[in-house]
Amino acid sequence: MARYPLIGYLAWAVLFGALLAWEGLALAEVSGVPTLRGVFRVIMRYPAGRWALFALWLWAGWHFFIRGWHFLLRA
Amino acid sequence: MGPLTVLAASADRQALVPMAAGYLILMSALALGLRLLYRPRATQAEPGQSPGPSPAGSRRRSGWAAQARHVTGTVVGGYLLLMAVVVAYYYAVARVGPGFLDSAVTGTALLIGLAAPVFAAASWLAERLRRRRGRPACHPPVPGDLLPRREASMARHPLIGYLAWAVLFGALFAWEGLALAQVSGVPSLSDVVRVIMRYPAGRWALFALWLWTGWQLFIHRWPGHAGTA
Repeated sequence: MARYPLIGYLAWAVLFGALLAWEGLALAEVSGVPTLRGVFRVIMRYPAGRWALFALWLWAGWHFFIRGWHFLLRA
Repeated sequence: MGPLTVLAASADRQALVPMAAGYLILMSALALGLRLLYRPRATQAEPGQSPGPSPAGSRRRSGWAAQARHVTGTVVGGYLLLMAVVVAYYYAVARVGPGFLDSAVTGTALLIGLAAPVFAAASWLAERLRRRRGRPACHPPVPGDLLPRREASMARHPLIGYLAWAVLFGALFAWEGLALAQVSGVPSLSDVVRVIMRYPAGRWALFALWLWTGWQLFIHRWPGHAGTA
């Protein structure tokens, strides 16, 4: 497993933190801020959008849990 | 640097192409959806759907069948789209390994097979909880009837709110792009996930999060579902 400087991992934490913070504002009903669910509903209005989102979700599952035999059981 | 390391680095760089394509496809779908949302209401019509209402009795009878058709369409369409992207990536961008295509076809099918009973159980449980709380049973409406209610329930926020989400996701994709381009000190999302999955609890938590996301997106919160209004 490659080792990276801590700042690289912190940057990911900040990015996901920003997503969660924006979602928090939306859930707090701050004016003009749509929730993530609202954005996904807009994307999924067309079949092509639903297929793209499902493909992305399925790819994530395959990439993280199946490829390389990391699937749940390996210690 | 050994040959395997060189191969992995090369494959990472080549993954930039499908990653950028994925972001563009998602943003295009968002743009199309926003175009429909901001169009004057009189001219709005879902592609392939009739705007006319149907009798309430037939709506109740066909509600679950409509949802089953909707979910099946999403699963089949999404699976075929992913396979098309994977095959195109393999033959046009990088021949990453002999088991790559086999793993893509069977591995994703295995995941769908694993997720299906979990989603069915979660939906059954959600319905039971809803009934126990005294709420009326959920009968998903047929797609032809969804439009007016969906328009009423889908809030129209200023465009800048949606753009902010696009920028945030763009920042995620850009950071991942830097990692795949082997910029020094930038771990990829896979590296981060690998750190979390070193322990069984992390693997189970991530898998549960993945399942929960899929159920929320494609089953429980499907557009027009009575529980979403």
